[in-house]
Amino acid sequence: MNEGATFEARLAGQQRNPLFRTWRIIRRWPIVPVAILTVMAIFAIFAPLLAPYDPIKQSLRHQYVPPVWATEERVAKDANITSTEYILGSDNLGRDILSRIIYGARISLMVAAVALTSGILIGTTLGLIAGWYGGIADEVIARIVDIWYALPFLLVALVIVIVLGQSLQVMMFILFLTAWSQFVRNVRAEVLSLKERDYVNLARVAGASPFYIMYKHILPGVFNTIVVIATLSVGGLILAEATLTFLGAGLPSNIPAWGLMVGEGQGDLRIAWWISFWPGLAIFLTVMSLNFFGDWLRDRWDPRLRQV
Amino acid sequence: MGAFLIRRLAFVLIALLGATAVVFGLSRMAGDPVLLYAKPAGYGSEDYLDNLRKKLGTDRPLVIQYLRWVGQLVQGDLGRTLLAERPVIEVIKEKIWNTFQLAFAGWAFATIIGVPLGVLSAVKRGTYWDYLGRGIALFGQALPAFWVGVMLVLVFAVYWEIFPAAFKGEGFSPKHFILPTITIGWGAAAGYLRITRSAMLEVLDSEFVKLARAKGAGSSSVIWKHAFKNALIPPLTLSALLLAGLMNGAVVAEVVFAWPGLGRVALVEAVNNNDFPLLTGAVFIFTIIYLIMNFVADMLYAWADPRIRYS
Repeated sequence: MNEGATFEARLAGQQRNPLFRTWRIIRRWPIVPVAILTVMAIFAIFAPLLAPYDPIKQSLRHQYVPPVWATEERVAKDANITSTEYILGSDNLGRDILSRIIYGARISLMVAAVALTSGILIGTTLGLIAGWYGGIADEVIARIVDIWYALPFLLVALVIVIVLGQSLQVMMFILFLTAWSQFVRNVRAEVLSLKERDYVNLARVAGASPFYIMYKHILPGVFNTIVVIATLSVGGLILAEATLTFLGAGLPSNIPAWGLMVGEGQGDLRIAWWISFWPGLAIFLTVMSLNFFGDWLRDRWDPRLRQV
Repeated sequence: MGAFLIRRLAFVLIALLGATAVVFGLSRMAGDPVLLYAKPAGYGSEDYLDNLRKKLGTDRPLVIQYLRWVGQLVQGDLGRTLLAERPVIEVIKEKIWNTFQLAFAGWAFATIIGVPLGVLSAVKRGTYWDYLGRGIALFGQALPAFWVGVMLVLVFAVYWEIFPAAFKGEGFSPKHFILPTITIGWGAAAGYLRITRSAMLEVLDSEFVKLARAKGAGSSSVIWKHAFKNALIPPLTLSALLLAGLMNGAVVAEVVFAWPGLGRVALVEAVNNNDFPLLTGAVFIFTIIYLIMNFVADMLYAWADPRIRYS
């Protein structure tokens, strides 16, 4: 009993500690991830306003400029550069890395968003059909999804890129191909349980058409699942896009994409670490924030999805 | 068990047919394959192209072409590469061993790091060990493998010069394995860790573990004898899938570290030269490996957890 009292006294003491309270708020709410994602979203939307330079404008007089705080390295390279130019440094062609990262946010988020939206639309529709109608439709859709899961994605993506060429649209298509299947699986499973509910049966008895029931009664029930899976999968999509682009089989090389920038700096590691470092950090922070936020959302909205 | 095995085998065969159809269809979508062959020799006359079509059999309907292609695959004939005109199977045999070595090293690294840390993280839940484990899991999922590779080169090869940055033909030593292994194994370790941790937590919370504790079993006996054995199923299943995934994923490390593996050959050479026979061959081999490992994972699962066999 006595121990309990001391524990409570200690807890009360901790709760008065402002540091402890801040830590608790940070643990309870996804403040840091949301802040990072907000910054990235602002980058993406207002890129032309925010970027200090044109992301593809080359300046051969300003190659390999180190970041602003590396003053010694800067002086060693070129004394003429004033301290405010090229905040994160410049690359092998004298392009401003910060501007390229800001535009890169636009590319990454746009590609992932388009792929995800189409993945949600197609995947949810197929999941609804498979779950609601069952029978042959269900069997066919489920088998296609199974086979799709069994294919090595990276290589299939490579084949598609070679066949269709490198472009933004092809990248979106490839990411769509990875995104749709998990929606089918989860929506189908949800529909199977929802369609046995009394309110759905009542709607059927009342003469509602299948389309109306699915739209009015089933879809709202699977909404949370869809949002949670979507949030959890954006990070993976961004990683997949960056990896393919890094390998030279993703976005074309005239687009300032993060994965591409890491690859461009690879040969110059000895003289300019910053070319590869910053874009990779941007990918990492974005994906990490998305995963964090997705985990938080899942625990709030749909804890049943927590399998692993 | 027998019915389960047959069902899974049938699935592997169907998936393989699906995969070959996809790859074949895509390779034909790229345009007339005859032009690919004729291109290096400068576009020939129409007569020459017609002859070539007859020779390659591309004047037949697509379905017949596909069936013939599958027939050749079954006999182990993957065609010849476009540029060097070497049998594709020879190139694959030459390179796949390098890829396997790397994938296996990454797999071993991931297992050695991920499984014990997962157990530790679950047993010491809420302590700094747990924070460390969960931190690694989070980082591993969010860090792009190619960037990890480039940064490892930056730190260990450029600045400290402890480990070599690239695979060199001569003077190859085990040191060359270290950086590529970490590059591809890091993310896999995170996967192991997550799965082991959640399986361990679930088992530690179960009635039979509580009973073992209640009857006075020592804590190490509870953890290793009662809990770990039962928590082993998910990581065991995952291990087969991870090895297959790493065979594919190794391509990232192969590109960063100039490792002469199959992924890099299929990617760099086949992509740059539009070498379709080589690419389709490589994709086909990887798909087979992938499907076999999927099958092995299913079998492991069914063997370890009898409930699966009868559901």
